[in-house]
Amino acid sequence: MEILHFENISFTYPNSDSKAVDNFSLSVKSGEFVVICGKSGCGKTTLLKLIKKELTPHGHLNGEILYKGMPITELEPNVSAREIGFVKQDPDSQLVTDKVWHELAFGLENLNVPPSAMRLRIGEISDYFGINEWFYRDVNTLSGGQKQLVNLAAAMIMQPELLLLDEPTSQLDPVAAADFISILEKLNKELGVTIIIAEHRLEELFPIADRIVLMDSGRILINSDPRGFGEKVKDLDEEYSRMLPSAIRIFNGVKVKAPCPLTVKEAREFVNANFKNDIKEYVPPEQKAAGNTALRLEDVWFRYERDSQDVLKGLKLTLEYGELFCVLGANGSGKTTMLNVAAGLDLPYKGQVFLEEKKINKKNFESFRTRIAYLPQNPQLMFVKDSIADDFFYMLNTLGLASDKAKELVETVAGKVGINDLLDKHPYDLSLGQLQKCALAKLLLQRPKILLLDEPTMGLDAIFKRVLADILINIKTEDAAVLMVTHDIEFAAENADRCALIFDGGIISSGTPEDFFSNNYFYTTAANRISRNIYKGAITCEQVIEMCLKNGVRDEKD
Amino acid sequence: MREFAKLNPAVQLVYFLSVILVVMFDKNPVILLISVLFGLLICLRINSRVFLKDLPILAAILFISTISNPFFSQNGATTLLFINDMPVTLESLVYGLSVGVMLISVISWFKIFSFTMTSDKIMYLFGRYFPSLALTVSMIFKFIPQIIRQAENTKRVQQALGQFSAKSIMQKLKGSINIFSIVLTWSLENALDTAASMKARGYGQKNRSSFMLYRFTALDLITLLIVLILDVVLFLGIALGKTKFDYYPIISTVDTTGLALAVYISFGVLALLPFYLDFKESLKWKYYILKI
Repeated sequence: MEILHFENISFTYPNSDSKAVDNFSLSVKSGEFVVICGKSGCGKTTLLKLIKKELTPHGHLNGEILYKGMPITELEPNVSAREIGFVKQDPDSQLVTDKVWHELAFGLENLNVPPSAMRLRIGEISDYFGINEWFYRDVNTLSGGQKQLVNLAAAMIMQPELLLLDEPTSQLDPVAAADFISILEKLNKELGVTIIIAEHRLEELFPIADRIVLMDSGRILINSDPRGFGEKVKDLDEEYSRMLPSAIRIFNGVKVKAPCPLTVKEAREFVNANFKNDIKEYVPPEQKAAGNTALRLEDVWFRYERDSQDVLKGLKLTLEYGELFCVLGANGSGKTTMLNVAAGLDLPYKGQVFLEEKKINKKNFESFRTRIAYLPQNPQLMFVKDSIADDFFYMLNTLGLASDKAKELVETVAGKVGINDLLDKHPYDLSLGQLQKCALAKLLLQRPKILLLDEPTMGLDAIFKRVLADILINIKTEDAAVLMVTHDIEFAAENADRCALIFDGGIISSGTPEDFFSNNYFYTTAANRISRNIYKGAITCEQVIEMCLKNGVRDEKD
Repeated sequence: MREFAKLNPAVQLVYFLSVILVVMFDKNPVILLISVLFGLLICLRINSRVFLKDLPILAAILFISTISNPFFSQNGATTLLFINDMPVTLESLVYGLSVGVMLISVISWFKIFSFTMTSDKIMYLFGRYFPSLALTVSMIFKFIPQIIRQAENTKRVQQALGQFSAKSIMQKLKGSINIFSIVLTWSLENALDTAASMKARGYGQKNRSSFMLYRFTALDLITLLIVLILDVVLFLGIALGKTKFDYYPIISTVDTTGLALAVYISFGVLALLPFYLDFKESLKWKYYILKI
């Protein structure tokens, strides 16, 4: 049965020449799991908002969206609230009340459900989502993953038939994101809820989706089942291949006629069956010699309050000039704290931070300030003025730079990072990727020697990540050093010079990405999990493809 | 306090109103002693570390209130000494002491009140009469910590950018104004998002119900009845002036006859009630465990 039908939908925002959604036609069957993917700004969010009448933005809409054969615009408000659920990207702003239980009750209260019926439904839903333990908690005390789970539960308590999700996992760490997606799978398989999700992170979604829709500039480029998708995406631009799961990227890279693999298991079988695999070891290119020490953390101990727990426990770390150093680790392992200590925002109670072998302390810190630049997890916090350019000039002014020199500097940096067209915009009008670029530019304006980045790839699409990586690689070669903490294993494997794992407040292993990841079992890239028993030391899709091609295709007779 | 806190919020509210009203308006030393003793004991049980931390402050209040009263009041028959021709009387010292005890007692009971009566319970009590007000309050409770956190984080990041390194106060002030204005923008954006989320979940339709977290059980009824009976004795006694106590010009003696005694006992039972509920419950559990 068809639950949703788009018939030649076009949508234009006011004061915009181009269409955000352009001649879009699609039919969604009841119980289907549909993934919508595409670059940032391709129109996926707009499309989802058009389905939910209350969220439809102002603008000009052509064509009709039918929900169960009825135009969306004619749905009764309580039907729309009940049957179509919506979960957004930002876990915080969609929460309405201060308590978890009240958040669950909110939707039912709006529908005037009597208290006794509410009690049953709330009990049921908190059991299903496992939120009993924090039922009475303040929403502000929850982690991002828990908040997003509450948002999902609050949408599901209305017992919707159609669930719309707009990049729900983009602000979650990989573990929380995988948990979230597995719950979506459960909702789809066990309850038959129709799901339409717009997402960048496709690794876990491909195996469970029924259909993948690729959008570009508001149009459908590909509309296919996951296996067929891998085939069709070959004909498109190379950059689209980047955002696909590793299994498909490898499949596309080797150009062999076979069914497209979707999971790690299938991809491993695929590589085993189709290639000779006589050469078993991947030899990484020569490492360049170590540079001078930029920043050194020596036996650093830190806790936030006198009688709280230690967050950093004798942490040691050396950052050299000319390198991009990625520190990985789970939430709560002390990653961000380590960065704060390195940035001089927090002082260790025992141990020392050295900048170019000079001790940093409270007194001399200000003189080092401009040499260390710090990018917070939320780039929004970097900006306090109404336009990006205003903000840049204001900062340079307070740092005591003459205005003509400031202008020159802003021009060069903006050119280098590629944000010339964004300078006049308000920071809140930019997408996350654009904002991240501007934040990086703001750091570079300080002409720092050391960049400290907190989760710079969070919420970015694969194409933007590539841009970011290129900027970072550019910076580090200019006699600077980049230290970033991240959850993004694939990014670290592809771009880092060195990687380290932080656990329980200390660094427990470090090395080149090839050594580091091929020694890990769980904490490693999908490409490495695919190839670990076939090729030793290959950790990125490119490396696996290179090994496959080197080995050559297996003949039918072998 | 654990068992008491599980009672229906309405019972808890009546209880706290009774205790705090008596403590605030009755200066009888027996009442004061009972209230301060149990008030402090319950505070100690709730969080002994916070209690010990607060103890010096409470002692300071007591001390200052006692020695400062003679400066304001020279009443009283028994002059102890003269400071700069100002008589310091025993009565005025004792009155100061009693005011100090009263303050400590009121502070303790309000602490217990705010610990037990969480926002959930307040919402439960008033939410059904003012549903939209209740929702607003709940949204404010969620929103304010968020704004504070956003302001703190912005300040920290701006600090890391060297925006507060300048020594000049003007620069620092400018920096703070910037943070204020951007956090304002942020909260408006955030509020719009929240409003959209509310609409998407069906807010704004004619009738709204309110979810009730608490039920009214037999134990609630019994406890409420006990509190009300004690209240009748208490307020009757107080209204009839049985607990009236004067500090000036001479300290009167404590009335321990008839109704006055009943008032003291009633108040003692009232103050003991939370302890009794806890004690009863733990005994019950010990008994159940012994049966295994």
